[in-house]
Amino acid sequence: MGGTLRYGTVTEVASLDPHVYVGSAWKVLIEAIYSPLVGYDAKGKIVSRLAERWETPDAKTTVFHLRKGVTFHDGTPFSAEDVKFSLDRIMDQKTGATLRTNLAGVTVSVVDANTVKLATAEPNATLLSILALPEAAIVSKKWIEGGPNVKVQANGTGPFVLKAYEPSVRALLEKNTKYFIKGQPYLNAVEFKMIKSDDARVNALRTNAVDMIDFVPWKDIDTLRRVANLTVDSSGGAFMNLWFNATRKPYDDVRVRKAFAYAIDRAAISKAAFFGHGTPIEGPPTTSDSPYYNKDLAKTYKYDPARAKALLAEAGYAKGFEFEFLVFQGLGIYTSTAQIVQANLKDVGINAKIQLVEFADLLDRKNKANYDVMIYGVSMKLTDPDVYAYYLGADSTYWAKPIGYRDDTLEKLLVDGRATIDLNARKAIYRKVEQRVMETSPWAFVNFREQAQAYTKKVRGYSHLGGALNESSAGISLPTMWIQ
Amino acid sequence: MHVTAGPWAAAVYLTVVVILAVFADILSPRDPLAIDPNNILASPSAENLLGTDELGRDLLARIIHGGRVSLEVAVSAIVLASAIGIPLGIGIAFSGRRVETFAMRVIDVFVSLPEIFVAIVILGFAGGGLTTLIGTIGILFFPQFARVAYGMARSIRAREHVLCAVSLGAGTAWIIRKEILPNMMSVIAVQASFTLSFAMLMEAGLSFLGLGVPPPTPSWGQMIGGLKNYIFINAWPVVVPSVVLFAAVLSVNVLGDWLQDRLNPELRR
Repeated sequence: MGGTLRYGTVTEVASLDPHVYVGSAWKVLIEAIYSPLVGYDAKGKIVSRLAERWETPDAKTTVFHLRKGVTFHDGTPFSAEDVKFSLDRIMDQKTGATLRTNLAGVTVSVVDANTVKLATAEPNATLLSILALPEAAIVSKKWIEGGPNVKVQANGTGPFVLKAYEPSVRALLEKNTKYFIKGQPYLNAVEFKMIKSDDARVNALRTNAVDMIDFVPWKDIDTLRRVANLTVDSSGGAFMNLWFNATRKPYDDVRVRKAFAYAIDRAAISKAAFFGHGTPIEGPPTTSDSPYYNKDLAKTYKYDPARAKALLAEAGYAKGFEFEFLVFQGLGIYTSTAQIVQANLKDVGINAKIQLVEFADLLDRKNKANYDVMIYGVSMKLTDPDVYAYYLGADSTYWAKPIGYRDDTLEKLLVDGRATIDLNARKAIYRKVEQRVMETSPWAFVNFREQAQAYTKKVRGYSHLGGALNESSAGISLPTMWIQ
Repeated sequence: MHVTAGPWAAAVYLTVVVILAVFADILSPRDPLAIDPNNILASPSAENLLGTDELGRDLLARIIHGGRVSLEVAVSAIVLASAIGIPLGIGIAFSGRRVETFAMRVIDVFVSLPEIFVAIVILGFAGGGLTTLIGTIGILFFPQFARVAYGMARSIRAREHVLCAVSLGAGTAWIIRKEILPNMMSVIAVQASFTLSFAMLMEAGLSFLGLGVPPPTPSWGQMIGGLKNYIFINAWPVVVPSVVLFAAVLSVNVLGDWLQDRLNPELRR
């Protein structure tokens, strides 16, 4: 077992700062180079990484016992100080870390060289699931204080060592022979080739220039499945939405937002825009395999143009209105979805004027609250339903904060959910969260889209995960993959 | 003069395209925007004579309506380019030596700009759409009209009949109106015909790149740009707008050649 895996990725990873998410391939790279305290296994269970074991003496405290004898790639020994330093770095506003708000209020204290204690002000049911993400990577205190350029250099404890890196172009990783899990990784090296163009990435796989690609274009899933030498794995891992500027007229009126939700023909979108590799979301965006799934809410917004018209009339828009529909122009799934939604809305009297923009423009206008309605694809960020705070919470810069949206009922429920540990009590709370989300329809959920990876038959040991871990599939599998 | 089969075929093809484009609403067999998710990227059938696109929309209907956009943009852009270029060229020719040298160097700078690059920059800032597209292509092509008008105006001005008129006391305005303009029309017509095919290609190219008319309004270039992504699923749909566009540009060029042969006394000799 061994070999070199050549991996073609859609993300042009421009920075390797281990605490600032810049896309799916970044996540895979960071998980390969760095290690968090705990991690996920291929079944989504939380398992040991740098922490050998952990215990929770009370609901507000977690104690981690660290592995001994672990060294960073530069040879520095790993200790409890590094853990405190890393988590503090994530919580420091200057870092701009992805998990900053998720870890807010956590106090880290070093008990001894091999023990760390994390205390939270309130009971926090989500803590372990956050610490297990690659974004919670542990860095070397000594190394960071030496002032390296963390955007292009790396020094972790992970299964692979960064050998070469050209931002947005390629990254070369080699086996870490001193990795703390014995016998891993199997591969000798991994070469990341960043190929943004869909067709170029697919062609690279077809012509054997790479062994594996991520983000297989939906139009190519069936075509590549028919190629004898290739395997295509797909599962739900992201979902598409219409985002309203819910504090601007007329989208501040819940009836208008509901009208949109009823007007969309989700089956048509899944079929045409996603070539059948999509599943309509008529309820909340929770998959049926989740313990938090509520079956009775799953059919809330069935395609019903008559109902949409009635709601519009009730809101005073019987004659409809016109708006600017902001759409990313780079992917067929976006432009096709936009045109179907446009046709659906026309049926209920709303005239959507599509404006095609680059993704950077879309983000910019989102952050400046300068839009009416846009299409936005969202990967499932967390396994925990507290992810609703990330999507819809008033403090989340993701959607609500730029437009100043706040729903006090929802805020209170989310706080309760985070502070509750018991699963059944949490289920009851998140059921109310989902009911509230359905009532207020802040986003019109469209469909789950399958995310697919394709690879040649030489590639072994890959397991494709669904849901929130989908984006981490390659990162989790990498240490136990090999080339036949 | 004997007219060969080429110009005839070209003229017939263009006439059909123009008629279809002008009367698209009446002649189109289907709604070009009607989506059918159960029938995407289909080859020709009795129902959809030219097949369907990535959203199951009828390709024949979209070709007919798309021709309207292509022609509208190309023709309007030429009108705009000549409306700016011709008066400017004549004006420069009558403006005295210093201004003339300076103005023509400025025009040369414009002519030497790479068109597609300038168009992408302008449209990148202004955003796509029918008006900006016409404006951009018009601005890109006006310097060529200015050059032609300038050259013609200068040479006509030196002819005996113009000198006669001047000696009889004719003013500049009268000379431009009665002597210069009528005599340069044939050359301008040839220039316009060649620019027309360039403008059609330019519109197609920009729409192909997503800088043209926003969806769902079809245009040939935009259809090619969209459908090329699905060439491995079904190669047929992308061929349809490609062939239609190719034939249209070829026809305009063939007619332009024929026109040049007819109108240019130098070549006729």
